[in-house]
Amino acid sequence: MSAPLLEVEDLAVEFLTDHGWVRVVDGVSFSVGAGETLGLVGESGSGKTVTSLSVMQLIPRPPGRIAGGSIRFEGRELLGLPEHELEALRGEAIAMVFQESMTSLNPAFTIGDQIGEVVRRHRGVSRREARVRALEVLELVQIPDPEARIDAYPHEFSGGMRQRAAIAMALACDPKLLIADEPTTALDVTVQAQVLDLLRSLQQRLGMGILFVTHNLGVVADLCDRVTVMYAGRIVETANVFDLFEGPQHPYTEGLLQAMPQLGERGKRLAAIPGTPPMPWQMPDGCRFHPRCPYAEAACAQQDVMLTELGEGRSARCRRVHELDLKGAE
Amino acid sequence: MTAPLLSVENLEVTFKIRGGLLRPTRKLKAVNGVSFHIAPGETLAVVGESGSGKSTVARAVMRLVAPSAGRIDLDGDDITAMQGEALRRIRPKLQMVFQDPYSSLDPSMIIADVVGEPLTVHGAATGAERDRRVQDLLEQVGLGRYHMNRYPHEFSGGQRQRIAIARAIALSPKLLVLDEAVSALDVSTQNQILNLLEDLRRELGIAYLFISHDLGVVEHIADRVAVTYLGRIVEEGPTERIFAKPAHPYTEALLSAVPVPNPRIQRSRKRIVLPGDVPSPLAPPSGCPFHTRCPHVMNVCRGEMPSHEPVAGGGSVACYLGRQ
Repeated sequence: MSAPLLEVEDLAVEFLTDHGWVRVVDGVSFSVGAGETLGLVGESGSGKTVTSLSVMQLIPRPPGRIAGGSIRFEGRELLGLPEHELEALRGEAIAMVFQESMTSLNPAFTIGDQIGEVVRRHRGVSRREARVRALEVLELVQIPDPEARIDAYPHEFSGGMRQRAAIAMALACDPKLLIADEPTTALDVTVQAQVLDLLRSLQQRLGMGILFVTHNLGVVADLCDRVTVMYAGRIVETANVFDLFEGPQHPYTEGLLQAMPQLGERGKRLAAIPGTPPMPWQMPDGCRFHPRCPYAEAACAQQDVMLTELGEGRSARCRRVHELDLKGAE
Repeated sequence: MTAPLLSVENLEVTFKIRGGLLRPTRKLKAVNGVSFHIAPGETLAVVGESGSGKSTVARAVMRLVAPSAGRIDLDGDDITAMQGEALRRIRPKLQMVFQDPYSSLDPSMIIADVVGEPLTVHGAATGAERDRRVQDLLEQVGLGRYHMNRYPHEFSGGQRQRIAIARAIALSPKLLVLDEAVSALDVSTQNQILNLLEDLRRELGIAYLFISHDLGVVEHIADRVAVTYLGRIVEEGPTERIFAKPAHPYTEALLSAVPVPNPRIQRSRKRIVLPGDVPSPLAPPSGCPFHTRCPHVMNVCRGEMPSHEPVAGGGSVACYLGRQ
């Protein structure tokens, strides 16, 4: 196997709050290969978005800081790289798409000018060449009538079209890695289905790796090859997508799967994980999930739990991983 | 059949879109010819995507926007044009919970006042009696007496939604309108609230008008479902029938677009990916509003809006397919 495109190792991110420096991402490691889609899954506050922003070092500093770890892209360490070298990577080799496309598009410029700007900045080509490239990528993301739409402003597009335009902008310089943070969450389901299909076909054609950050397990089941589940700033489980859904190895993953209303029987009570996730300044001792875990024992509250390697790229952070027989999606 | 608790007939809501210097004022018909009924203790889900008019239906029923045509009856009273004191008197029967628990609670009020305010306003209870009622209500939604003197910002999203529900049921309503009430919550919290709603329905016999875009949630909670598209109900019927045998091509596409949380099933199932976007409600297509994206479109679809006809298995559909 070739070296992964992106390797994140032991990443720690902290934020300065009223409670002092608080660690919101703690010891996070994962990798994304070329042509692979890794789903980074978690609920609000799990640290998934902070993790994805850290890759491009887009954490606002202050109040945030990357407190430790390593982020390597094609073997090259990104942490500590001077800002101008990061700038050269952003939007070129590594591109991002966010949930709210209106925030990544500038309302004062036409779609074509914005995509062209990215191309000119990174490729140093002429305006005319940049426009040709903008047109190409608008076609690539299946914007209808791109010759006319290239001169439209973002507000003239629907939500689905804006997200396509944001994806087009991200793809303008043929990135090797696309970081997509909840890119379909704000879209209607019929439009979400279009965008997921689009990402899948683009990946097949362009061979880029995708880090897909989401809370939606249905979307993960649709698109991802492997999945990393985060809870309270830590990774609790990593597995191939089929293995994860069939036989989760961490009680939190089981809880998330069983909580999907589609898997519950009508008229029966829905499975719910009791309680709420801990605040980052009040992390419980031992396993961070133990106060909400139906399988917790006294020892779970005392010892810190490491990730257990389970072979074939699987790992889970649970003391009882070898005794528990957890329920997957049927 | 029991008399319906809520009956909506041919509801129409029109918004005026103000023009600019040289642009004329335009009319946007957000809801167009919508009819449905809710029986006492029943849950009707109104589903649809953005621009479908589902939230406007909720707000019209709540009398927060004025209908431009049609009729709304609640518990035997015509409330379509009700005003002032008369409207105030029926308010206790009709309450609402909104999507965003962060903006629907007054941040300057302690929880005892947030939940107790409807009791005071409608003169239902005061003083120690009010505090006892508030305490009961908080317990009913899974919170405790010790929460009474805290402020909304001290609570998580799920807890705030519990507070909003406690306030909404304070006057023992017959109908609760829930507009995307669990959409902003994480799955684990969302289910706690859905289970709470089920419990309250069983204990208090409240009927729900459940507005949602999340079909997974709807399948679980609703007795009947109405599917809206561009201001119209295109199909309506019992939940089981809608999910097992959708009769309208839009319902079919909508169901097929929801990813199933199981990679083996999701990657092998037949999916209908609709082309394009929902047309602008400012310039809706003629005839059936779905005809511009419908995989089965026929000439007749471009002419007149099809009428609602009964479907085997219950409910009705507005579609020319299989007719004539």
